[in-house]
Order: sequence, then C-alpha cells, then structure tokens
Amino acid sequence: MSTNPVQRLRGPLVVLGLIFGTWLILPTAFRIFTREAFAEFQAPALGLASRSRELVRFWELNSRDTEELSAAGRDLARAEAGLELRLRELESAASENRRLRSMLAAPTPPEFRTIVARVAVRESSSWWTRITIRRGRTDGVRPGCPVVFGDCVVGRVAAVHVDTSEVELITSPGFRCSAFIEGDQSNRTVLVTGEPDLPFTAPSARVTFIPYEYTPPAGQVVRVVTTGLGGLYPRGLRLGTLSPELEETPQGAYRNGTLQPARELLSLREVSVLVPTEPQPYEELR
Amino acid sequence: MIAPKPDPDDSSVTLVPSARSNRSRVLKLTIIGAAGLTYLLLGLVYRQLIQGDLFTNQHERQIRHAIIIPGTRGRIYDRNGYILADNRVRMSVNIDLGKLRGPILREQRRLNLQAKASNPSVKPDLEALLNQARLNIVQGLLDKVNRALSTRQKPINLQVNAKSLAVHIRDRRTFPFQVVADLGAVSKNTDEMFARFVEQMPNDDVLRLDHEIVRYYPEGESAAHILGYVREHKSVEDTNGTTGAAQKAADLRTQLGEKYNLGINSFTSDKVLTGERGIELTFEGVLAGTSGYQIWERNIMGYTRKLLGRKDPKQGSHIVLSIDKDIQRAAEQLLNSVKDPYGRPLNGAAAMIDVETGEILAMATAPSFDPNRMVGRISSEYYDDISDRGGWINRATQGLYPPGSTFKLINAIAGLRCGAVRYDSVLDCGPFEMIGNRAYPEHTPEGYGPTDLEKMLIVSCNVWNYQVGMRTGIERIAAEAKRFGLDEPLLVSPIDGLAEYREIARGMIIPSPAVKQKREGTSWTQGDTANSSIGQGLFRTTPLHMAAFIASFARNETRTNLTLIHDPGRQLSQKGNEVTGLTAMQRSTFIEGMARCVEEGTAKPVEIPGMRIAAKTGTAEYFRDGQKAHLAWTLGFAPADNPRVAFVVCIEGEDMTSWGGATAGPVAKGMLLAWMKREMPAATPAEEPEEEPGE
Repeated sequence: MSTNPVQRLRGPLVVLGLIFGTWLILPTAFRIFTREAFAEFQAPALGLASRSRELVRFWELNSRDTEELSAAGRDLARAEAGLELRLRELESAASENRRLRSMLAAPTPPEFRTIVARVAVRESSSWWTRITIRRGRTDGVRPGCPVVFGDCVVGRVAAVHVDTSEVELITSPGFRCSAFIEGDQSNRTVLVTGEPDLPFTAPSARVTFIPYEYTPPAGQVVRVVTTGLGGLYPRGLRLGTLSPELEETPQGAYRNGTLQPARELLSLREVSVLVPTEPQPYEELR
Repeated sequence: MIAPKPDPDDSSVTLVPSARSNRSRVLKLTIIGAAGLTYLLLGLVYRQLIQGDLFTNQHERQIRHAIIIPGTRGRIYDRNGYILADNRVRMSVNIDLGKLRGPILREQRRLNLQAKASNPSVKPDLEALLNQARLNIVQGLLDKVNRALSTRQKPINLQVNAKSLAVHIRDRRTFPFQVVADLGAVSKNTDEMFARFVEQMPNDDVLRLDHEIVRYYPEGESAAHILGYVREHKSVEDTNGTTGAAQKAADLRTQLGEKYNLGINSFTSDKVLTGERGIELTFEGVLAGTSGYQIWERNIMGYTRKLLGRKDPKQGSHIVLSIDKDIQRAAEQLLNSVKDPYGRPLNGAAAMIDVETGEILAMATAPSFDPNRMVGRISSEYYDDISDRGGWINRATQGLYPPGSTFKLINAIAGLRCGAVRYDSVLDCGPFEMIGNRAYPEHTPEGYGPTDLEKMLIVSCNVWNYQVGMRTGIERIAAEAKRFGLDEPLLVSPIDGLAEYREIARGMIIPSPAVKQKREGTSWTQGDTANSSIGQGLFRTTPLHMAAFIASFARNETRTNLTLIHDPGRQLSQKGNEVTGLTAMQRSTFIEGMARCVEEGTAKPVEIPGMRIAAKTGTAEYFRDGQKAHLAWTLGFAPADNPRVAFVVCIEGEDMTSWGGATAGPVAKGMLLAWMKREMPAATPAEEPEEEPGE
C-alpha cells in the first residue's frame, strides 16, 4: 500500500471532482428536486433533535420544587388576568377601527392567522441569517409570510417544505422592510435591509433614507418599527433600535444608520408565522 | 536473377537526386522559411513593441466607460433656519438588462421557433425578434411590479415604452433601464408605493429600487421669485452651460479623459440640475455640488462588467437667506388677496428691509409660480398660464413704476436742503396751482388751505409740492433723487465678487431736461417740473429702490445696499452713502408728519395699536394696456421713533379704482404684524377673529 498521501487521496479527490462536475452540468430542475428531497429527508431528523431538546427542557422544569412552580403559576394567572383585560380593550378598539374604516371607505389592512412554530435548527454558520422552524406546508405556512416573536419582527419565510420552513432573519442581506423611526415628527418612511453576516462582527441591519434633519434624541433608545404600508407586516412591530451615530451620505439628502436587532433574536425558541387570510402578491412574486 | 550493377561513371541516367541537389533545396526552403519567420517575428515585434501602446490605448477606449454623477445641490434656508429649497429622494425602479441576457436569448429562440412554425417560407428578422424578446421580458418584470404595487382599491397597470427601451439599448446600455421613473407619481401615497415595492418584491439585483435626488421647494409658490427654480437636464451635454453644475461636470470629464484614457464617446452622465432663475441661478456656482464618477469596464455587448474606479459626488454649499419665511408668507398671502372693487386680483409687489443691516426680510411678488412644477419638464400649459398672468416678472426688482406721491418726501427734502421752503413754512394751497397757462389740480376740489410740511405729509398735498418743486427746480430735485440712488441698478450683492442677484431692472429714469430731450426729443417745460415734484411724468423706479430709499431715510442716510443673504454681523457699505443733511427739526417734522399720516391721514389702513409707524402713501397714474390706471403705493418704517424695519407695497390697479392707502396699506400692515409677531410677540395685538357668517 502506498504511503504517499497525495497518491492515497487521488482516488477520492477524482471521485469528488467527478461528482461536483456532474452536479454542475445537471439540469436546474433536477438540482432543485434533489435539494428539496434532501430537505424533506432531513426534516424528520431535525424535528426529532428539536423534540429531544424540548424533552430535556421539560424534565429540567419538572424537577423544580412545588413551591417554585405554584409561585410561577400564581404570577402567570395574574399576568393572564391582565392580558385578558387588555385583549378585551383591543377587541373593542379593533371593532371601532373596523367601523370607522367602513365609514371612511378606507382600505382594510390584511388580516393574519397566527401559526406558532418551534425553532427546529439554528446553525452556527448561519446564526444571524436563517432558522428552520417546525411548521411547513401541511400547517398552512406559505412563502414570504412574516415571522414575529411577540411584537418583534424575526424575519420572513424564505422556503416552505412539507413539515418545516426556512426563515430568513432580519439580519440577513436578503431581508428588506419599510419602517418608521419612533419619535420622528415627520414620520417619513425609511428602509431597513439586512447586512452581510461577517465573522467577528455584531449582527446588524442597515437603515437608509433617514431624513437628514432627524437627530436621535441623546441618551434615549430609538425604536424602529414597521410601517404597515407595504402590506406584509402589521404596523408598529419592533425591528430593533437605531444606533445613535448616523452616517452622512454624499448626496446629503438623507442619512444612513445601523439597526441593532432586538435582543429576543439572540435566543429564539419559538416564533409566530403570520399567514394572511387572503393571498398577497408577494406569494406569487417570490 | 541478379540485376546488373550500375556503372558509376554513366551520368546519362539519374534516377535518384544527388545529395548536393538535396542540400541546395533544403537550404532554399530554410532560407524561405527563415525569411517568413523573420517577417512574422518582425511583424510581431512591430505590433507588440511599436504599436503595442496604440492597441492598448484603443482597447481601453473601447471597453472603458465613465459615468459622471453630479453632486447634489446645497440647501437654501431662511434666516431662522427654515428650509426654502431642499433635495428629496425620488424612488425609481430599474432593470439591469445585462443580467437578463440569458432569458432574453431564450425568449428570442422561442419567438424564432414560433415565427418559423407559423410561416416556414419567411426567414424571421432576428434583430426584430431580439427587440421583441427584450420587450416581452421587461414587460413581464414590470407586470410583477404592477402586481406588487396594486391594491384592491387601485390597480396599477404600467406598460413598457418600446421606443424608450430601443433608445436605451442604443444609447445608454451602461445604465439600468428605468421602468418606473418616480414611484411617487404612480400613486399619491409615495410612502405606500415605496413600502409595497420593498416588501412585496423579492430583493434581487435584476429589478432594482434606485433613487435620485430632486429639487424640492417645501413652501411651494412662496418666495418663488427669490429662489428661482432649477432645470433638469438629461446629461451634462444637454446643459450648454458654462457655470456651476455643468461646468464642474465638464471639468471632471476632461480630467477623467486624461487619467483613464477615455474617448469623447466614453462618457454618460446622470441627470444634471442647473439654476434657471433667482438665487438658484445667481448662486449656481455655490449651490452646485462637485461631481463624482464611476469608471466601468464593459463587456463586448456594452453592459457593465467591472468597476475600475469611483469617487462619490459632494453636495454643494448651503445658503442662508435674509428672508423671514413667515413675513414673506404673510406678504404673499395679503398680496394675493388684493382685489379691485370688481373682485379682480391685482398684481403687485411688497418688500420689507432690516433698516440697520439692509437685509431683505421679505420680497413678495404677485402673481407667482410653483417652482416644484419646473423641476422636471415644465408643461406648456403651465408655462403659458404663468405667461398669461404675468408671473415671470419679479415686480419688486424688475417692475418700473412712477413713484407717485411717495416721491413727495424727496421733493420736500430737496426743497428744505436748498432753502426753497422751511419745515414750518405755511403755504397757501388751493384747489389747483396755475403753472404757465395750465391748472395743476389738488386731489380734493376744496384744496387744503394753509399747509405746512407736516400737514402736507398727512394729507399728501399736491399744491404744496407744486409750489416747492417750482421753487427748487428740476435739477435740484433730480440731484436729490440721484443722491438716494433711485436711478442706479440695485446692488443686491451679499458677497463682493462672488455673485449678484441678476434679476434687477436697469431702466430707471429720473426726469430732467436732458433726459426728456433724449427720450422724447422735446424741451422741458415748467409743467414737467410740477409733474416731477409729485413723482409723475417720466419717473420710473422699482419698489425695491423705494424700499432702499425709505430704509436709508429712516437711518437719516442716503444709501442702503441690500442683500438677500443673511449675515448677523453685516455692516452696511458706505459707498455713495452720506447723511441726508436735514436738521434735527426738519427730520423730526418729517417723522411726525409720516406718523400722523398713519394715525389720521392717508395711511390710516396701516395703523397698528401699540406701535407708532411712519408711512407715506401714493396713488400714481400710469398707462395699462393704453388705459389710465392707478398704482397704489405705501411705504414707511417702524417703529417711527427707533426705526428697525422699512417697508414698501406697490399694487398695479386695473383702472382708476385703486388707492395708495386703501389698496396697498393692508398689505403693509400685514407684513408689520408678521414682523411684530417674530420680534415683539408681547406687543403684537391679537388677531381679529373672522366674522361668523350671519343669518
């Protein structure tokens, strides 16, 4: 047997090269099919791993003592009572809103059905770009749907498989959304786009078209929220906070800034997919 | 059988060539080959070493392309920091055709097959099919945009202009093709269109959301004559200009041509904005930004391939005007509301000046225009509308009018200075004054009887001025008018040597025998002197000249060099300036008479409780479309005892129904109220509530 490592590796390298070359010349449809098939094949394994983690978490919580659990239950009941009250107020406001809109013949914003989904995989190589969730086509998830966590935008659905979906996060370069800067009196629309995920850099998104006369109030956290004008995200969802240093542009007509994503993005376990009750143009345009 | 051995001496038969002969042939061939090779080598050397630079040069010129990106214009602010001219982002949707080559070729093949199938005998025109393929692919993408922008209430259906696409492919292939020039124009709600595009459309680099900077005037028509407007040129080549943005871009072109070895046809430029009127034109060199550039390498099809170099454009400098937005707006609103007794809107001008610095606080002209509508391509309807209304003329600086009774101030100063009359002289002023064999009338049939300087100012007595004018003489009257600079082009210049406001009149006339002889070819008469003493006859000056005069008079001086640029530490130029030469008593009589003119005289409509104002009105006669009509004047300063602002209002009557105080006075009052609101808010009287409509 040869001891020369080059000779030993030659065979496998040739095979690898052949496979790669064959892959390149394969028809696009075949490659898409293979990719999809791989995703579907991988999905049960991902789901199983995710469920195992949840089971571990369940037993970890189950080991808590009764006193701690009853105190947590009591706090939860109080919070629920408060939320119930708030829900009634919101229902009343929504009903009033609908009535006024019908009186003014104003367009109704899209209504959404919420699908709660657990995060199946979040790979370290694409930590700030993509996550895979445990809901897919069979659950009614559609491509392009917005994904939120609480009042915070997580991203949007990039690809849907049978039981899983891939979500493009707001820090991904492919993400973009219109936004308002809270406290900006002119209420002008700015653009939020994800930034490339570079190693050893903090995740961020870019805010462009900030009015040049806008100055972030000193010492205050400035939130950037969705406009609700684009028909994708409901109005007022949190995208993150605007960094205090704004960057001048050569044109001088506007400035750019950096968006620090909400802290919730760091440790996502569960998200909500907002599925419009009526199909939206983006579903067929993607 | 054995063959006979050949005889070596027998040379008559030679079946095999000799070695010598072979060598000779080989030698010949070698020489020919070597010569050929040498020729080729020499050719190669010639091409590479001698002509190498030429070919490299040609290659670079063919593949390199420069895009000039003009700098954004500087902003224009009012004296309090409000923006009068701004730049705003205009969103456009563009398609990078270079990235669509594959789909276009596939579409062309499909069309080709379709054509062959439908008519096999005719060979399809491949060029026409390529154009159609491009159109189909681009329209397909635009249909996606249509779907993204459409709402249930408002469907959008944008179509590709085939001609524009063909022109783009021919001339501007380096640039992306613009399918939606202005998202804001698609629907009234620009923000919604922008939001729908970014959220509904996939974020790829084929259908791109780009932006360009356009000029924007947040105050609309307000101060339009001061600001002027900008014109949008498709490229630097279209400007034909030699200053500002065009010149800066042209200079850059020359530099880049040398640095990057670019040919004449290797340039394209983004749209260029150049100032056309007003401050935009006057300060073109200051406002225009510095152009940037991008140097691209193109592929064989002419699409961009690689960025070789770039420099960002730089925004032009900002300008802070002396204008106060609120006073300007008040003046314009009041000016636009002036109507004659028949309800016809009247044209006119109004100005307010800071007495101490000469800064123009307001300079309004009616009618005006909306500079926002000039930014792109001005429609012929709007252009004609402005022309029909006379809206192109800046009446404050270019309107030439007889000053009428406001000139009586200068006539009186001339009389007092030469001793023709004393400040306390009482003259008998009847219903007319006979000069030669012609009666020059008073404006009341009874006359004013015994009249001194103060009473003259209150009632604006004509006969007092006829008498004093005749005693003073036209030469002294004209000299006094010249001392106040009424015939000199106004120097509305903020920074010496940098720029001057260009839209100023140069045809002012101060009448004198020489002027009349020159203009009309006739001799001067005593009647001309009488007419001149009340600001009639040949007199022509602008409202801004009269504003500068009254500001100078308020300081007891003769000249005020005006400016439209705000400078808190500005010192008035002393060029041509001198004190009026009036004694303290003479001056106080003037001020008292002008103040009483407001309290009880012809300038009563200017009166504001809580502020003593000195003013003088005038109703001059002029010819409008061949018919006699009245010009209504009001000028003055305030506060009367410590002047801070001077003002002038001039309204062009349609006929003889407009009057100095009654027509122009309310505009002056409105400007003063706006100034008081800014400078002395505690002393400003509360606005009168509008009357409720009665039953």
